[in-house]
Amino acid sequence: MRMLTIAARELAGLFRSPVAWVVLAGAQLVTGFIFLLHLESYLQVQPKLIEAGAGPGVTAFLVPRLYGAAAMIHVFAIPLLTMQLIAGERRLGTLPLLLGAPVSTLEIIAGKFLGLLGILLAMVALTALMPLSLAFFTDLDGGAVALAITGHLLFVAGAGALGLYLSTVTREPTIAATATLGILLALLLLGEWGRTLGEPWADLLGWPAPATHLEPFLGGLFDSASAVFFVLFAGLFVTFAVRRLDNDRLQR
Amino acid sequence: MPDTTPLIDATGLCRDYGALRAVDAVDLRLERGEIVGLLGQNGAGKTSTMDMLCGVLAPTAGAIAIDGIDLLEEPRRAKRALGYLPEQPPLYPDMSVRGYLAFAAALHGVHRAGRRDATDRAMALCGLTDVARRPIGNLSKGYRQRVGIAQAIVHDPAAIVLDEPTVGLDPIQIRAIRALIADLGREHGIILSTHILPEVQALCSRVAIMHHGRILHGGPVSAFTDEAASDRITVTLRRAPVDAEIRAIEGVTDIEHLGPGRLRLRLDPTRGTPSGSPKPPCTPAGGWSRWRRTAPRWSSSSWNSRARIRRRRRRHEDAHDRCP
Repeated sequence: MRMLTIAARELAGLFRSPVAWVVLAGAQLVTGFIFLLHLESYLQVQPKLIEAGAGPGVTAFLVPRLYGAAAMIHVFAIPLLTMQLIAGERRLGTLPLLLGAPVSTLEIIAGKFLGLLGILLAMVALTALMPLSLAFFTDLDGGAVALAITGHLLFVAGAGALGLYLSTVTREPTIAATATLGILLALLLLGEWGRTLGEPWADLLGWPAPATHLEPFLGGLFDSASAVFFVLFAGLFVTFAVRRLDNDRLQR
Repeated sequence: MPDTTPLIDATGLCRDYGALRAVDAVDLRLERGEIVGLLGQNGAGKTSTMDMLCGVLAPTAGAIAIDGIDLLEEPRRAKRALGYLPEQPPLYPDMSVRGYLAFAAALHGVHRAGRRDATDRAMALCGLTDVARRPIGNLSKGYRQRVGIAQAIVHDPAAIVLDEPTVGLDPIQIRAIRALIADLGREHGIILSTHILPEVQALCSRVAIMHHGRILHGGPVSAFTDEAASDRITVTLRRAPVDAEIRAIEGVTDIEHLGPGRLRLRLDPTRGTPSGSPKPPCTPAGGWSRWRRTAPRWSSSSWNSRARIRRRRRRHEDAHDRCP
């Protein structure tokens, strides 16, 4: 259970540093503002929707817009949380403590990833508070909200795994953060570009982008292919991270 | 029956960084209850060797057994018997001393129930009880070094590896850390690396001298102070006799010619203790005009490269030879 020991230290370390608090607060502030903006616009169009006799309810209107924006904001926030994971240990010179202890590289990386998931879970929960707060005033489509939360969690876990891998590549946390952000944005833009080119480019260029696979979840659809994509995406980069750290021992 | 398995038994350790061979065929043994000093200049390959002994770095070739368990085959079991203080103590500045040591204990498989006792014991041994709640980042360098050592012993390992434990400390701190290491040496086997000879003389029972990735000399520290223990001497003679004459001297087993008049004599290690320097057989017929003995000499303040010692010795001897 040394994996949990590492995870617990990582999570405690993240919460002891001001970075995590600032990032969480900043992301929450911006997401909250966007949530209020969309809520306001829903309230404005609501009478027209009622007149028309059809149209999306508050969940269908708000959830995709809110989570679309939140995912975008978190693309900027996650690199700041992942950059320290291994690069920070390298800078502090604490890596030999982990490598010299009777734990495998897999346990080190898995522990790091679990610790990171802890803070990402806090991020997902804080975002979920916004749509859930509407439950006090109106009926929500519980299924749709639950799916959006699931999709959001898978999305941040995937992005976090990428950040974790890039943190193992360098000893400079800022480089790890910049690279993570750069790759996440590049994947996103590639998907958008594909969309403007039409088929078959939309599918082809959009496929590697996590944002593409978040969409079905936001639309109230549990797309198992997308769920598998996120699991593979995260698994791939966690594996890469293990290999990279192993390489430290072998090559350096 | 006492356990005679060596705590650390490394054979043929090699480590390449690209084309550079940083560690070359190093054999190192650590027995129970001894402190072995790994002495060498910066860049001699000490840190690479220690990293390999502790499983932080994989050797290019060679085998390491920790308490009889192969480190490369069964790293998890082998590392349990090891405590390691790297050159830069692996400390998290944001953690408290107690929290950090508890983490290190958990990482090394100390069970939850025993963790508090283990941290208390390590803190007491290293004189950290007063700063238990302080964040490590606020501690002085001497205290940090102690936390580093506490981290290496918190799980009560049989073998402790310390990489330059006193580097960068002031003289008082150095004395305190040395006393601590000497204390630990009574119960644990310790390998420590340093580039300071007096440190080895003060602490170690055995020394391995490393240079350019190789162990040049391994043996008891007493060899430095006890000239009788050396099995080779270099002599400079103005008119060297034929080899047969030298071989006739009791105790001489081999002769090597180093240059004009310079000979290295290999001595029989079982010979009787010579009284002072060997008696110069000043037979006029032989025409030996000078017999000068130069035993291995080591600077008292720090270890110098062999080349420098050799150069200095040569200068010394040249001056000597010019004297009438």
